[in-house]
Amino acid sequence: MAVKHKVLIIEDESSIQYFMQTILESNGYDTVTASTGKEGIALINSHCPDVILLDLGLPDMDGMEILAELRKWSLIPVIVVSARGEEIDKVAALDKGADDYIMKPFGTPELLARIKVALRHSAVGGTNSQITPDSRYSVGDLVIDFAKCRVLIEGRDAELTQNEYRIVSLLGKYAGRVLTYDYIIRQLWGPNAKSDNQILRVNMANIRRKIEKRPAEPRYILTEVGIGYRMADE
Amino acid sequence: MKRASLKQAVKDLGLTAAIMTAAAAVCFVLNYVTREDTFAASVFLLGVVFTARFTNGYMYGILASLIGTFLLNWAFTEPYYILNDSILKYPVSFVISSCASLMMSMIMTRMRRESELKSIAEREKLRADLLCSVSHDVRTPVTTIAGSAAAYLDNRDVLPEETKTKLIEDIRDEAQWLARVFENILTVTRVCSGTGELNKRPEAAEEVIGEVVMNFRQIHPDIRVSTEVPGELVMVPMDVQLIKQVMKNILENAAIHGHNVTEIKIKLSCDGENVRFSFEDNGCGFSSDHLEHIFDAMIFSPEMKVTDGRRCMGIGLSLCRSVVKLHGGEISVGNGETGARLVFVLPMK
Repeated sequence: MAVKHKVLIIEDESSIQYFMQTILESNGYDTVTASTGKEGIALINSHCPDVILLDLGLPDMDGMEILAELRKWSLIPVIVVSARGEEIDKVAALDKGADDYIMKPFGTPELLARIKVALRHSAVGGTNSQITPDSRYSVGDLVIDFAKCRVLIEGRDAELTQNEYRIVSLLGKYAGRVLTYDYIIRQLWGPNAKSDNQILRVNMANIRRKIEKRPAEPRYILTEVGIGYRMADE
Repeated sequence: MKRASLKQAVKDLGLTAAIMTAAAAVCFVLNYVTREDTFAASVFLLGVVFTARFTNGYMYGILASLIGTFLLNWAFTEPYYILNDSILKYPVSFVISSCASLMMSMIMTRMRRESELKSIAEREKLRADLLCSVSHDVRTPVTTIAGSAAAYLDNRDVLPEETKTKLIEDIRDEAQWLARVFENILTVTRVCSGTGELNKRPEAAEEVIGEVVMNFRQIHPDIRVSTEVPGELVMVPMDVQLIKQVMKNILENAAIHGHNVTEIKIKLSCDGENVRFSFEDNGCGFSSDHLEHIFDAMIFSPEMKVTDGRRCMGIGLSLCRSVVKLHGGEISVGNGETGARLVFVLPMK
């Protein structure tokens, strides 16, 4: 089953939520929706989406608060969707950490394009300078295609699961750098996840079996025992 | 405009003459009774002050001052009925009473200006609120209409039937909402324009209610509306288009925001001086923080906790209040026995 990017839609107008969901799912995204700020925060923490569409005019809390809250622990790209047209609001949102700002009413192509841009930027948002402009990273026989959410080993699809892909792509964005167990767990399962490494180890074991020729002598994902994992950068 | 100011001028002149004549009369009477004329100056001063209070501008007060001084000299100082211009005190007395008149005129002018400014400010606020509200109230339905249409058209081959139907239904609902928003906007523009004078004519209250209810039933056939009117016909002077809009807004709000409203009771009553229109539904009523901000036209603010996705009252209730106020009436909102209750009162004159 193909891995898809997950989009979280935080929007209180149900009709807008509905058509956004329809459009996104028809364009190959997975969607999760929330109608209030509190619900949104809970879902960010539990689903760790790849992109967030945030409406500013929420009934229970200001979208800005959510943004501030989120930016304490995550760099998940946020596209602010708003009916407020004032420049001062746009600036405030961008200052608070939004990655982009789209005004209602918006066209569908514009929405889709901005989501693509946000995802592309987040792919290169790490420290790996070898990621190509079309969002691919190659090392040895391993290719990570960030845009298509695929990992190829020796030309064929490694068939990673959702979580396995997310781990590999995270390591890929920071190829050459060690990422601690805690950091990986937080990025994948949210700030409130148990910091028990077991689930991470199991996932890594499965990944190694899919991409490494010899799981005990890894070529691509190296372990720094007691600390974390590192993806090879050459 | 010239006609109005001529009319005003005649009125003011007449008033001046009347007041000063009255002052003179008072002096005569007092003179006759007490055989003294020492009070005359004070009485005339009072006359001057009254004139300044009740006329427009500074001119009439000064005129009254002149008249007063003249009368004082001529009729109330020896030698009587002769103008004695050698005595010094008359110019002085004229100046003093003119000062009094000027002071009074200035106070009056300022008070009038303040109340004018206040009503201009109120109208400006209504206009500003309207524009703000238009921005949000119009963007959202337009977004839904454009987006739902795009979602349908781009994917019509792959979407399930029920998804397609829901998208089209959303378009229809939002368009209806937009239509109502525009009606409100046009009404507000009318209220805001010119001098804000209403086109008031006596109307049969029950007929106006009848028409509004009939239209409402066509849009919301599933809501039962019952009306209760007094035995005798009640005529109320009103701008019928505006009051119809007010009632429409009240009913629509009940239908949309009431959460499962299935019944609305409209009661008309009259106590000789005022006519009372009461609307009560069987919905969930208002929450107390809702009630605090209910007349604010600023429709989305984090303080306003509307629980369902639907946008707020919009400019609807704020407009209702403005229109009712312009009619000299009052509107009040709260919770009745079965649900939310809204009452507005119009004077019968």
